[in-house]
Amino acid sequence: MLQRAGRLAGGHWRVLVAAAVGAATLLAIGPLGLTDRYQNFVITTVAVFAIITLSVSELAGLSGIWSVGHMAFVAIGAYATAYFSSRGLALPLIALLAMGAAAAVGFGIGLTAGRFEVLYLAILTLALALVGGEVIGRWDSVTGGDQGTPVTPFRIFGQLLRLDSIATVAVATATVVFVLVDLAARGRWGRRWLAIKNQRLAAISIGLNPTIENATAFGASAALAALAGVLLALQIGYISPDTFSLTNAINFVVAAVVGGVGSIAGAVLGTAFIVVVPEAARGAQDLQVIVFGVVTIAILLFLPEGIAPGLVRRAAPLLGLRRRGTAPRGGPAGNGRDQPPGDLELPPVSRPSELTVESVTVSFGGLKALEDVRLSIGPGQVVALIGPNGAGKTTFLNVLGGFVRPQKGARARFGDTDLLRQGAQRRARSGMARTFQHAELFSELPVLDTVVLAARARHRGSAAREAARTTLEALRLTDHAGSLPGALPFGIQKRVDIARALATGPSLIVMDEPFSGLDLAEQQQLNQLIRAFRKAGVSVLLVDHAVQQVLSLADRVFVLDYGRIIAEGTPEEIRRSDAVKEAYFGSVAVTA
Amino acid sequence: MNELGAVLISGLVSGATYALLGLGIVIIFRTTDVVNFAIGDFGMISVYVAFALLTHAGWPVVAGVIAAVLVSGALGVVTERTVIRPLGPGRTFAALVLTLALSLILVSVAGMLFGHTPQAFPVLVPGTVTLAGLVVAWQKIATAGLALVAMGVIAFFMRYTTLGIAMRAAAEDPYAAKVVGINRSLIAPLAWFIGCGLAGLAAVLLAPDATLTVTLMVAPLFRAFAGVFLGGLQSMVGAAIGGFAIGVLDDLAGRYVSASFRDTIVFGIIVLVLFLRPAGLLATQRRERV
Repeated sequence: MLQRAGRLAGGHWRVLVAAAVGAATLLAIGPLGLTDRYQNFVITTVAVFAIITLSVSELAGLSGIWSVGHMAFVAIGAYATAYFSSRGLALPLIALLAMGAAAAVGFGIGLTAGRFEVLYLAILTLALALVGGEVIGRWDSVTGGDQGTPVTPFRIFGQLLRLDSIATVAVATATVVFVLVDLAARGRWGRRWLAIKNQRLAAISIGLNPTIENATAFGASAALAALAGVLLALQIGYISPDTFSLTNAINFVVAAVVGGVGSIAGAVLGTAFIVVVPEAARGAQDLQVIVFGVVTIAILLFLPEGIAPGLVRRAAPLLGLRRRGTAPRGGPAGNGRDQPPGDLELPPVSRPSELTVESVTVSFGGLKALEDVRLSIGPGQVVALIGPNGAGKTTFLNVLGGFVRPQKGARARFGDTDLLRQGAQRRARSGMARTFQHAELFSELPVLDTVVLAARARHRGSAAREAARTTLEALRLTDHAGSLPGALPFGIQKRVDIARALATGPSLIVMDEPFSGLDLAEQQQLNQLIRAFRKAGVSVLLVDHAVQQVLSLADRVFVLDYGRIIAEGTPEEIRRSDAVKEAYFGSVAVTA
Repeated sequence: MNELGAVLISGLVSGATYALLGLGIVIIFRTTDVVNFAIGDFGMISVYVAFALLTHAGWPVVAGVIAAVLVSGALGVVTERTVIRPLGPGRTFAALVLTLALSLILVSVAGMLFGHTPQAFPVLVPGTVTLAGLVVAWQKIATAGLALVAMGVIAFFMRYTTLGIAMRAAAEDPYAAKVVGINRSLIAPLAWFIGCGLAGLAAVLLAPDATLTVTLMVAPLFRAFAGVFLGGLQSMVGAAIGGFAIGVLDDLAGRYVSASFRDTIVFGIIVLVLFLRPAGLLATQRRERV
């Protein structure tokens, strides 16, 4: 989180620094002629490898996906260059072809990412690397098998491309890639990917599609690796299988971790580390590896965030920088009470809809978690679903959210959509929003970015930003717009969670235990807020065991016990119901 | 038929060593959340030590095997104490990269100490026996036998001894284990000792059939990992069965499908299994509490 905060501290200056470093390097190897052939070779290697490290590191940093198999994409780029170079294709066209092919393969693998935990996906990509290795070894006609294959030299403007000019091409390409990746990572794509990485369920609840987003991220990252492969082919001029060995593949993971995951500068420093350390100890094969291993372990132990973020963290106090999103000295930024939402005015909802759920039965193995559950919420109604622990409330929420499929015969209509036929992430767009017991905010996104992201479920372009600001204003959260969730007290976090749900422009908000963890004053505010929802025509489903709070608010109450609705009625009726007393207290003798 | 029998037997025997390695990986992972990529190289180092004891010091075979297990286990304990624990909890991926680096170091240190020339490791039990028309080397029978005995000992230890039950408890729920007074700073090194000790045994059983080089354990480690992922990272029984399954699959694929696409076939099957059961064949499905 620190590291993400570190990234946010910059604005555009990082882009400028990247461009300046690139330009300076270009000057040094080009017009100024400060470097010799060997240095040019090392510089080219760092530039090319840095693109690979960046593709691995940003994928991990933004999407939480670790790929050990990126060498396969580098190989696609390199072999495509070798193969088509002898057939006279233009270099940019080859690069596009290779990137397209790699993106397609990467997209396919990315589609499966959501099914696996981090380590399993790492193994899946490892399998890709192994398969890639065997394909290279056997597909003689294209790859030249174990012998390898030469790259026919290219001409640019009639000039044969030599090492010096290749260095220029590599450094220029790397600079452009770094700038573009940095912009994308801090832009809309990066925000969506971080949201999904941080809180998958909450991301789905505002209409993001994790499967597609993971696949896009993986595809984009694979395309970058293939681009690096094209440059690599130009540089070494002869492609052989050992370039794509597993050891080399693992080196890029080391570079990403050592440099600092998801950090732009870290990708360069990490790459320099894996290129320069072995170069410095050339000749002593075993000693070189030992030095490399020992330094890697030392960095992991003593600079846990990686070189670049670690150095920033240490240097920041000296330079008097304070990161955005961290709390000011003297404790967390305010408490839940500082700015009560007061008399909240919400614009009326454009299309109030009714939710009707009937015959919902869910069983896990032999256990019936829900049995023939029905529930309905009229437009602008506040309905409460209460029940003791284990009654099936969470399962019911998951059915509504689209994460648990009820047995046949169930019906769930929301306005004019059939909920059960709709995927989880589409439900946000039909006007159903949700809040979470533990707020479940995106830990790496500032409040404003989170709410803007949610507003995109309904609005396009700058309208989303406008809608987000209005929502923050209405909930008195404007002061916290730039904060990361971790720096906020829990009461404020829960209010941000409500803002996130509200920003999607819902006609129904499903709230999971909204009162839990709030102090009395905060509970009062929440009461006002929910009344304001009702006034604006937004219906609310409260799922909670704070019975007193809920009974004072709700228009209608459903009581769930052992998976069945045991009572339904007005709060007054529920207060008097013997069945409810029985469920909550085990006996009718005790009065509520 | 005879040929199929021979392939199956050799698959099961190499599978037994993958199962030992896999068991070691799972025991360490369950207790300390670390995927130990250096585990094979602890085994490799210990085989060099055993080799020196057997050939130069003239120790008996049994003593050599025991020495290998102890050396490998001790290396594991030292690693846990010196680099894993200081890394701190919750850094699964950093720990994995760390053990990768450690593996590089161990291979190079072994290269400097023992050289890169392949050595012939003496057969533990010489001779062959004819079983139902198949000629089987005693070495293979000894390998499978010792591996099975080791697995039996581990199963007994985990199921019936106080320490073993404490280890499983600590793996299930570290917090609850702490509450009932299980000392994690003892459990972690113990898990590393047992896990790496098993790797030492696997290595010393594999060495006679291969030639002894610093890369002795690279291929077996990959197959052991394949087995672990087949069975599920959390399941000891799964890792063992997965190891045997990979041994057999690998040999069958190599003999009857294509010798040059062995890895592709084996990993293809694993990927297929993972698609059907994303947490491994024998993993218990996590169920959300209602």
